[in-house]
Amino acid sequence: MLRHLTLLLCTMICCVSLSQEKSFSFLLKDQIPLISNYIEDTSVSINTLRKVTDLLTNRDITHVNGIRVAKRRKAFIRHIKHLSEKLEENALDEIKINDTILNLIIELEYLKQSIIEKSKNNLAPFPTKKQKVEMSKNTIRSKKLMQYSILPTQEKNANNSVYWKQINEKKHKEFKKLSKLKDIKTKKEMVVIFKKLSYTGSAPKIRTYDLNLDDEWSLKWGDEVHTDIAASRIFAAVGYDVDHPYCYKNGKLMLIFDGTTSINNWEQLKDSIYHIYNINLEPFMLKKGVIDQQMVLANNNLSYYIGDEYVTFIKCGIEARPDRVKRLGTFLPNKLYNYKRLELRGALLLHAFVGNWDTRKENTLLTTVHDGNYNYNVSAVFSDLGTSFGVSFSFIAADFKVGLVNDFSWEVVVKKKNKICIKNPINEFSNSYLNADYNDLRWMAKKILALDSLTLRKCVSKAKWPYPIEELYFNKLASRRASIIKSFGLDDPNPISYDRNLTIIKNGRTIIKKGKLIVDYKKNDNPESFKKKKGRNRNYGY
Amino acid sequence: MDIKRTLIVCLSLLFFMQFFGQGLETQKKFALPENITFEDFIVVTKNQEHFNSFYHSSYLYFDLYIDTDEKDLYEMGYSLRFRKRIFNDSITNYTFQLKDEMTLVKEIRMEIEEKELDFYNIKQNNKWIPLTHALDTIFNLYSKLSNKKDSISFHKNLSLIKEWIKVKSSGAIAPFQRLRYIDSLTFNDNKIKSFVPVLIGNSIRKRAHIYIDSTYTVNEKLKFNRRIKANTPLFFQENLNFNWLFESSLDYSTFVYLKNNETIIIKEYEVENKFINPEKGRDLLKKYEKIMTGNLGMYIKYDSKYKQSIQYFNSN
Repeated sequence: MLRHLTLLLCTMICCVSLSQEKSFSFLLKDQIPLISNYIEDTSVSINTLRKVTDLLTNRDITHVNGIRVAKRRKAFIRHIKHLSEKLEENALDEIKINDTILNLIIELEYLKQSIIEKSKNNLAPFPTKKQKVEMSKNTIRSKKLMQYSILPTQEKNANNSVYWKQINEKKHKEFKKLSKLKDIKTKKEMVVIFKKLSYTGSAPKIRTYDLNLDDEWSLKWGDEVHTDIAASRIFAAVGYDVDHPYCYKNGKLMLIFDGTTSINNWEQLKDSIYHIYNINLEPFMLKKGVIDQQMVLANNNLSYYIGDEYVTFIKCGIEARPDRVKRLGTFLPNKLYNYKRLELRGALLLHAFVGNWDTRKENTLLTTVHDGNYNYNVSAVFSDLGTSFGVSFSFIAADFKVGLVNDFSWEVVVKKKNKICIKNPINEFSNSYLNADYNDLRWMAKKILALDSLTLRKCVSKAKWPYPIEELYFNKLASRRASIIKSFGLDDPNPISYDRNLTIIKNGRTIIKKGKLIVDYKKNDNPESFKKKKGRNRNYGY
Repeated sequence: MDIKRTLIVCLSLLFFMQFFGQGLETQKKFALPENITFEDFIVVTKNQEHFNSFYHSSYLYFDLYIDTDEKDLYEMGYSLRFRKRIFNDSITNYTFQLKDEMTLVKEIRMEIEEKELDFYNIKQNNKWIPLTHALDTIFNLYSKLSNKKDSISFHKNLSLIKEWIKVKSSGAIAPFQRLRYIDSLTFNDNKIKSFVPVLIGNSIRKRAHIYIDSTYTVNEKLKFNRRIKANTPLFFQENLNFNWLFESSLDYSTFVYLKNNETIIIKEYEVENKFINPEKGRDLLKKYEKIMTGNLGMYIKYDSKYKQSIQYFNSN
């Protein structure tokens, strides 16, 4: 009884303070009853706090309820201890719960639940047959589910949170701004060192070290090396945190085998990738050789690797794994009342804008970002946005292919009578997507409206598609943007022109005709193909 | 030894390795012959056969060892200490470390550290003061308790440390977490609450990288010790032909037993395996041990400074 009264009192205190338009990185007022176990006699319960902190920081606790607890890295443990210590002092001083304390508690709860989710996912990293069927079902019923009755207009505004931040100007620079915060440094010519093979995901990839040996990169090949880049930059321009993928072509990325692992050369790598992913990397290889003195003269950083084998590629993608960023589990889209967040509901329309199909919660992340001074900021990340820009799927083979420009429709939203219909199938509906309504999507439509021509052009050009493909994607994005703006009845002060009958002729050969790619463009330079729909028997992602 | 017994020993070893997997170091500890000075030792060890030493830093350590009045940790082969490190007269850091003893058959020491103490506070007269302030006062005063005021301040701050231990006994402090994991019955909340400072002292430490050159590396078919840059000393980033094998510490330590103010001086040389392949590193460490014992008349010892001190004070 006393506990309930206490909780009621705390809720009332906090509701008053939260209603005063204060915004918190984590806390929503609905979440307060969920963390009542952290509260004892109107103060922080030291017993609960220590139990949670112990679970998150004690590496001798290896299992919880029979599940192996995911690896808790040093930086994560350090952040939990900082957080916990602040709360302990409040508890020992018997300070009455206030919204700042609640925000710290809920941050701890997020980190706990994300680690638990990661632990559960580690237990079953590959989708079960049932989950695959569910993905197919969702894909089919997307059209029906994504019809929204037009409601009386309600101007909604999201507060800055761990999930989203308002971007007011220079949206095209936001991706770079985020990368600076994470201390991600790319070069025009990258050199990476083989670290280990990867066994997850469907696209072939490996883990590599940066030449500075502090940071790591995930090196990938295949149909996502352009799409992920454009989609991630568009999400960043709207205010979401993302992964940091980059595309390297024409041998601008060199992979070195430094002889410290069991994979010492290109042949061994190629065989291993074929064994794991059933994919032949040979068409992606440009040059192989041994690091010699001449190469060292051109790049002194290679001196450490004289005599080691290397390989360069026609085309590949790298995704940053900076030392400053520690990846936890999902960002909990279906927990802690996150479905109420406007910034998560609205994201459904942004997925549709870039044509993303794989919206599973596993493609979201909570991360801790070290600010360089032993302080950590938690950030929610939309990860793996590469299954976009024209996706073809086969339900029978559980296969899919992405980046098929002809499958990327000119319109993504249409208004039919009193409904808004989104034309983008997705494979999972989180609670926030299921609960999204017209005004939530309208909020996002306004964010997409704010993406100007420069931003879209920059996002597309960074993906390094060949010129005719880039041009077609730019025109289609402008057209999709216009379809969103029109459907929601918004005024567009800066319309972006596009040509649905775009035709591009190169060296006397028609590449794009009336808005359609008609040739398998430069097959040798683009082994993944922008036309062929056959995937790689990806088994729906695994 | 029959097969079954061998298997059990192997499995136990495997279990042990996993059990202490978070904080392991392989090291050798040598006692210095009485007649050799620190300066002479440094000159002699710079080049010993294929093994070279580059002395790169001087550290000053202050240690405050914690145990129960009955010396439970000592009896069970553990030592627990607050350590303040001063690197080359400038950078300072504080840690709280739990270690176990090295033995003839176990050259791997468990080391569990609460690595940062800067954000912990202790309550004094209703005000939060940093734990490190209390430690600083203790370390500044212990060797010069010349007046009553200093003595009062010293003991007052020791009490604050006792208080911090009491408050944190069930908290997420890495050494306490490990003690509870080792034996939650023995190291229950009351036991940890009863920990008190027992020994204080300082060590002057000369640190060196021990390395071989590229010719010997190639001849012995060894790999280069490549680590992430943050974990690679500048010396090896600048000298790519040198292959980093070990880190050595030459220590001159003085400890005072808080019970009776008796003092002990300990001189020792520690070598820690840093090679990328731990197996190969252990072989190389054995080679180095032979050179040290054969050429310099040193002998292996296993006891920690804490154990040596308590043994000495108990025997006096």
